[in-house]
Amino acid sequence: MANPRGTWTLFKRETQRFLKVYMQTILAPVVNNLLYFAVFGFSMHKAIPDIQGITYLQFMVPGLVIMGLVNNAYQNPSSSIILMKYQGIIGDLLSIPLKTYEIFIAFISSALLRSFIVGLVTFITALFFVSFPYTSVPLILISAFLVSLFFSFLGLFVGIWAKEFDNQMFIQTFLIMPLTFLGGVFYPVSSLPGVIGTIAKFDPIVHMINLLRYGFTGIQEISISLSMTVLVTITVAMGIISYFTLRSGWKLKN
Amino acid sequence: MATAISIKNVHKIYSKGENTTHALKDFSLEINSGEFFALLGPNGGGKSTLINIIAGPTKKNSGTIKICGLDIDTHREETKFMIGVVPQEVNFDSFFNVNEVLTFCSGYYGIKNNQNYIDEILEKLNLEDKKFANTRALSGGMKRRLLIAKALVHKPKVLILDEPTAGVDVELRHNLWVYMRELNKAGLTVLLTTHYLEEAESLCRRTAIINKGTVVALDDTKKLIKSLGNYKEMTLNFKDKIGKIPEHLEQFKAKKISDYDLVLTFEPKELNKVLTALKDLNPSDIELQSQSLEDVFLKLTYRS
Repeated sequence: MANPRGTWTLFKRETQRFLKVYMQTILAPVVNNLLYFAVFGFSMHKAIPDIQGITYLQFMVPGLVIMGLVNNAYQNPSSSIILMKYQGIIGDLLSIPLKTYEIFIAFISSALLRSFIVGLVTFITALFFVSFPYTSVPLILISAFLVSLFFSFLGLFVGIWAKEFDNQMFIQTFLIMPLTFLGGVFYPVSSLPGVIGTIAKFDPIVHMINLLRYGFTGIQEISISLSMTVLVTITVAMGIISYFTLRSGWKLKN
Repeated sequence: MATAISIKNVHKIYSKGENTTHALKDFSLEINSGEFFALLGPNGGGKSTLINIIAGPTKKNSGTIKICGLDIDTHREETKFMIGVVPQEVNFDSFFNVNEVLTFCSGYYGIKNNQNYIDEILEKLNLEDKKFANTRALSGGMKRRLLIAKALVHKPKVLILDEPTAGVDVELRHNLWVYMRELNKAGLTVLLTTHYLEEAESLCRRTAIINKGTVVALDDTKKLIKSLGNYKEMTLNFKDKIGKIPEHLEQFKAKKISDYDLVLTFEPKELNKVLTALKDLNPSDIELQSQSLEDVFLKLTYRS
């Protein structure tokens, strides 16, 4: 017995939750990105030579868009579920007549929406300062979708696993942040020396940025098919893990 | 009569490291459709575990639970549509106001445009002036009434109330029970757990007492009270200090409970004899009491 209205309602609840605190969820990431533009784009880009024929600002913007997608897709479901645990309303989530896949769809869709809003606003803001050749718009859209999907799945998993916000911040600070900064947002991964450069190729965010950057500018550091294979594989795997974790009731049910 | 809640041989064991707690031991119970049923028990007796298993947040180890004939394991979502649960712990969704919370709750159960019914519930629960107040701004009693509203918003067939009146003042509690009686008369099955035993006594036709995970008593509430023996207690208050207890009162197990108060215990058929015996004593006040559910509860739980 499917419950589409119930699913839609949970999606609405999740979406209205982050829209109610839009200063923190939408505006703050945009302001952060504006600061990146100011610092790296305007102050330093003249000192940095063009990379594979594109300006430093053109090089950096796809990475900033990825950062917006990653952080917001991750934070939306994880914060929401941890807050539900704090407020004692996690029992409500387990008592409403929704199947696992319906709860899953509602949380992931809302995370994708928040992620897209921040990614889009970052991109539109960037358009005031820089233009792109747009090598492949479909690749931009598909990559952005898959990146958001992967981190929505991860956020859902972390929300279920976490006892408190410290656990969520731990993953953000010690896993996502280093992988993002080492993933080539601000510099070409190929410029990393020897072993570090090889290790960096195992960073999934390198592949995410590679795909989006190619879609925007046409430059690639790794083959597009390899990056797409990595992204699709890890997204499917993370999706399966987070769905079955939710279904099992692990850390949610007694 | 159709069965609203059927619980058969349910076991629940909580394990944490080497510690295991057997919260429900081969627990069985049947509650008929349209009943106002009381489930009483001390803290940690297993009431909330049972309710959480029925509602969803807790998994049982074994046994069967059916709601209106449907097994909660094989018809999880269908049975969730049929029940409304008021949890013991007060919770609130701090992002939204009362009306938004209830509109979301309606939506979860597939109901669109439920505003008229939401308004009706808010009025019945004396929350209409808090309709647009953020849930954070509600007092403890208001939050508890909001939980009741959330449980009713989809018009369930079975309402499970886990200590719903804790922290609710006397007048509002009275109004709440008037409303619950009204819903019960209209066909709603109510399972109530409460620490106010007089509530169970006045509202519920049948009562079960649960202790250490098993049912230790289950009967018609009045029969259960009389199971201790059908006797009355009369407390006599005197203006002057009572000296020696008059000999002719000893047949009524007369007992001094203070210098001015005397308690007599007797069977109802002995009432005339008691009144005759009191003729020359001139008490300044008389109070007559029956056994209460509390006596039964204490006997079956704390003394076991």
